[in-house]
Amino acid sequence: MHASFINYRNYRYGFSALALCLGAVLAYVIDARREAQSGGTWLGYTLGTVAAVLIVYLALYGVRRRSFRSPSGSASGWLSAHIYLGVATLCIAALHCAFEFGRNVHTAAFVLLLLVVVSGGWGVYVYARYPGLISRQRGNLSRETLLEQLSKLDGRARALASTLDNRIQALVDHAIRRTHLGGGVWEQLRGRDLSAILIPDAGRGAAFAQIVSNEGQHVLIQRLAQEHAAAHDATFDARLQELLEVAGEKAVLVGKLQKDIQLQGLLQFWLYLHLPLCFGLLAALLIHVLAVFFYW
Amino acid sequence: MQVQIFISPAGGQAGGRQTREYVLRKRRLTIGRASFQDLQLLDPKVAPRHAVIRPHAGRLRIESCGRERIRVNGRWRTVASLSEGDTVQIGATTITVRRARRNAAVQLEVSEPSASDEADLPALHSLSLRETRLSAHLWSWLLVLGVIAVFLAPALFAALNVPARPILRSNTWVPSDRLWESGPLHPSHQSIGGNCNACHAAPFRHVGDTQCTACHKNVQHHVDVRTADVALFAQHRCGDCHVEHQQPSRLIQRDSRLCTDCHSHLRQLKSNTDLLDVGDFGAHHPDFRPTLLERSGSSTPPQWHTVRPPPGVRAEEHSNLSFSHAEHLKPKGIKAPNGYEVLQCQDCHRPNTSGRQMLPISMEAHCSRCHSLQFDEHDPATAVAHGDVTRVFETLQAHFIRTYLNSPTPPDQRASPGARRPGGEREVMTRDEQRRARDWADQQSLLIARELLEKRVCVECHRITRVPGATGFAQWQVEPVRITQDWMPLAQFSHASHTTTACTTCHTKAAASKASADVLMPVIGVCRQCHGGSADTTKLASDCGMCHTFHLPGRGLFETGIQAKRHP
Repeated sequence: MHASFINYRNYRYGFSALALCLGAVLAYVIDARREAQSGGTWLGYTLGTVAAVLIVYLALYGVRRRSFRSPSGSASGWLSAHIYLGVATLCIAALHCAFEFGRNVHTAAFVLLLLVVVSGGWGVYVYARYPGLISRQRGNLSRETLLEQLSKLDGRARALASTLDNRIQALVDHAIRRTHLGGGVWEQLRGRDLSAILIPDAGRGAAFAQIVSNEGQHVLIQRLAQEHAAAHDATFDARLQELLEVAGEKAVLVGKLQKDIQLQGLLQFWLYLHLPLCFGLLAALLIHVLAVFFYW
Repeated sequence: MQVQIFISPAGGQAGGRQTREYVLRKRRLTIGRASFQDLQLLDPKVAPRHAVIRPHAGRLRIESCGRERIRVNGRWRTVASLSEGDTVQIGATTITVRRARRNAAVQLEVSEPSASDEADLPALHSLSLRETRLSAHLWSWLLVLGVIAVFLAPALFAALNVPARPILRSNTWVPSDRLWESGPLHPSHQSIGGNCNACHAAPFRHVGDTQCTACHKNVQHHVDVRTADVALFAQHRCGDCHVEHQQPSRLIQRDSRLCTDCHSHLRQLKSNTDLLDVGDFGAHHPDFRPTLLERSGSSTPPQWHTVRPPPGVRAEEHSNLSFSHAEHLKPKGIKAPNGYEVLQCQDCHRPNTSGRQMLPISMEAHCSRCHSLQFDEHDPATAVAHGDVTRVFETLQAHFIRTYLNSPTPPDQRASPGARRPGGEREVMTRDEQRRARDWADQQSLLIARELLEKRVCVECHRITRVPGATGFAQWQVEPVRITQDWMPLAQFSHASHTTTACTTCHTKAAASKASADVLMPVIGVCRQCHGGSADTTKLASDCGMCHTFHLPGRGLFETGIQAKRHP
């Protein structure tokens, strides 16, 4: 793991969180020998207060990471504390409720906390793993560079096609127009090349057209290859050959971009769960505290 | 549906573009920016799936996908019927319906914007999640509002709106303040039903004792409610020990601290107590001090009171009986009517139905088979009654008068031969003869009475005293017997739970005890062989509640104690 937030200052916050958990477990074990534990004992109230304070502190990380000039420690340190204390909070909350669960707001708050921690854990995983994967996958080039290369390839393809006949020109034009990148949430996360192409519908007659998948530019390449096999003119043949190479390069480039969009999407997606769950947790936590003291 | 599409750049052949034309046979024509759309419009303002054109009720109709905006003949629409000559504007593209006749190909003329920049890939494609409809803000709000809608609003409504409560709470699937319940009610409280306010009378206030005593009217206090000791409980609530909504449900807290918080230093709280300070059973419980009966004065009938010997003083029972357990439990047996008989503890000691205490021992049930009360060994009819000395004397007198009257010669004149039994020839005894008969019977009765009381029968078990100055039968007194029944009235012990062990396992001194003054109650060390402190893991963990109860009989109603707390 190269991620600095995990081993920040030699696992300083990891050990702090571990000590916190062990302390809570020890107190729980000692107290459980003397009396039946629940959220309503003195230890229960104490652990509950600690967990609530921790939850608010952890939620404040969202505010902290927006203010880059904050004087309170480094961003990496805050993130490290956020991660380890988040896991510790789950442990303390479980001890607070003495593993008593039911169909109520109290358990709802715990389940939301669990989901927040699990989604955060997913975030830790993707942040530790994906950035390296993404840059390796892109060959250390930026996405903008890749997009520029794609535009240039399209330009080259069009220029080459313009010197060939109308049929090839139309084929290339349609392939370029209907090249797919990104898309909706599911399309981005799935990462499939949904490129299409409009080609004559041979079954219905010359005038009819159909739209078929051009995944990996394979229809374009196949059609160009057919043209190439039928060609007799050496200049025409050379240009077709070049066009074929451009199409092949484009297929690789589109695949790279698609994979990049997918990995970036996965890198960010957990946050779209983590944040709403966090706000849901804060709401449930407030209601939990209110309910406990309302019916004291 | 057959659609013929003519695409031409707006403003003629600008930008070197040519008119394109294609025919599709589809049930519906899709329009949008995405790659698989039948009519693809490369315009950032056009949605990936923007609109659909399809036949509807014999006419052509355009429908927006979702909330996308379409302008038909200059007006914003989401659905519109199309006729020949209509123009549809989507983004910067204008689509003109050239032909929309039935049974003929639909013809659409598409005028593409000349500025359509196909090379601007980031504008035409959503390349990150931020550009999609995914919104953390939206989901956050939805979740927060959802949590409030389920867990707060209906619960507060039920908590504050009295008429709505029963309706909301009675339905399992309707959210109400039952979602605030941290755990199920104890089975014994199920009859309260879902009425939270039966106990939770006021918001943000602890459940009060009066809510408990509303139903539990007869519950007794821990201390005498007529004394100032009640003030010691001013800070305590029923709920301190009786915690509801627990999982698993347990109404009585088995926590020794609830007792030792006071009892570990009771003398500091209550200087006149004779109770010793108590900590955990395992190490800090004083030795048992059995409670004994003592006679109060010498009144008749006798009055008794309980005393507890001070710590360090050996307890001795003054039952006015003399009994040797050792004699009765001799291994070789004890002399009985049919030879030697080996006795067991349970031949005399039987638990009562609760199993807590032993049934009382009685002469008739337990002793009389061996301990005969006959004053003439050869005549079973000469048994005296047990328990009433006056009747003993009456029995003796009656016996000897009968003997006198039945003998042919008066027993007091046997020394003079020829003397005749009075009335032998006459029907009526003279007064003198009657006096002589009575005197003889009294004399004989006194002789036998002395033998029974002082030498042979009664004295074997009872303490017999002489009344100073008294004569005749009045000179003897059998001291009243009282055997302690409840040796430890402040503790609960169940013999029924200990039947698998032999009696002498705990009552270790019984087999060797020769005097009835011996108190054979086990010492605490015997209990500690099996019972440990409340956190002991090597023995049976025993908290205070295993042997003691808080609510003690005869202390007065708990409710009275609550009132005394309020109005001292």
